[in-house]
Amino acid sequence: MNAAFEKRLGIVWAILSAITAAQYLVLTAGKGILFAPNAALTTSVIVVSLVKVRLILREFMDVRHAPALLRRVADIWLAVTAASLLGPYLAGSLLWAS
Amino acid sequence: MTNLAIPAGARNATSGTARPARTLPATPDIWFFVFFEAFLFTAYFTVYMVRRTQDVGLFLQSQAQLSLATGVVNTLILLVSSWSMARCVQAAREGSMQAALRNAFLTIGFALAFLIVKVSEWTVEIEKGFSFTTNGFFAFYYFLTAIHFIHLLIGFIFLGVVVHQLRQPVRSQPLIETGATYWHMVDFLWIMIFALLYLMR
Repeated sequence: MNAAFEKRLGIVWAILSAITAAQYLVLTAGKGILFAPNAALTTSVIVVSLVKVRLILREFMDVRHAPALLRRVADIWLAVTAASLLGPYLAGSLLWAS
Repeated sequence: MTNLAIPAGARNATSGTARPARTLPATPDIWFFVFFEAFLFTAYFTVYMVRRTQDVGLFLQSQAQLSLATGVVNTLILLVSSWSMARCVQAAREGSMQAALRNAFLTIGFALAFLIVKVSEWTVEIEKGFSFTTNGFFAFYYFLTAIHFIHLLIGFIFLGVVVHQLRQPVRSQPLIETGATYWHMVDFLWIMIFALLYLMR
């Protein structure tokens, strides 16, 4: 197998797994697992998870070599998903705070 | 039909590592399907987020009944399955059929591991008394994990097609990549389900 490409796929997998492990460690850092509303944590969870998804799309699914239309559709979906998850969440937490 | 808009030279079985700067992996049809599904799941996720704001306390208490470690294990399994799938496609592009087949079977093995972990997780939750009708959170938990599970089961058909193609004397690289593209979708949809059910607070 092409050594450079094989190495690149391995690095992408290692990054994705390391992010997942880090997400676990952040939640279990204190005494037991955190179960309280936390807007900063949730925002970062959603953004970081979408970064993971983008890595899968671009590297594993080869979107980075695809025509511009596909690359744009992928990024539009990521942006729409970020807005439709964070929008209700942040609006809800503001309502709760007031 | 399948080589629509794909340069002929880049797609035959003996093509090497060099690919033209911009080529569409797999087939246009599977990409249409993937983004149709992606937007559909975004709609499910949005409904979950809106419903969650109406009863944050209940959703947090219910989230505490899930095993975070099990969710992490399932995520790591799908990530490694995506890696072996990508290696399978790369090996097939280079004509290394043994390596491609080995990675295809590895992917099927990881898919089975996910299936076993998911079914045992459901068993534990049901034994604890949490079912679809327990509350709003568990309705979403069972709906999202079950609809994802159905996609995973359909994934076995795609993976079977990949193995079948890899064993043909004249194989279709776009069909192999179509199976791979579907499989990566199963992975990335789970990444978001994992974030919403297990990680967010």
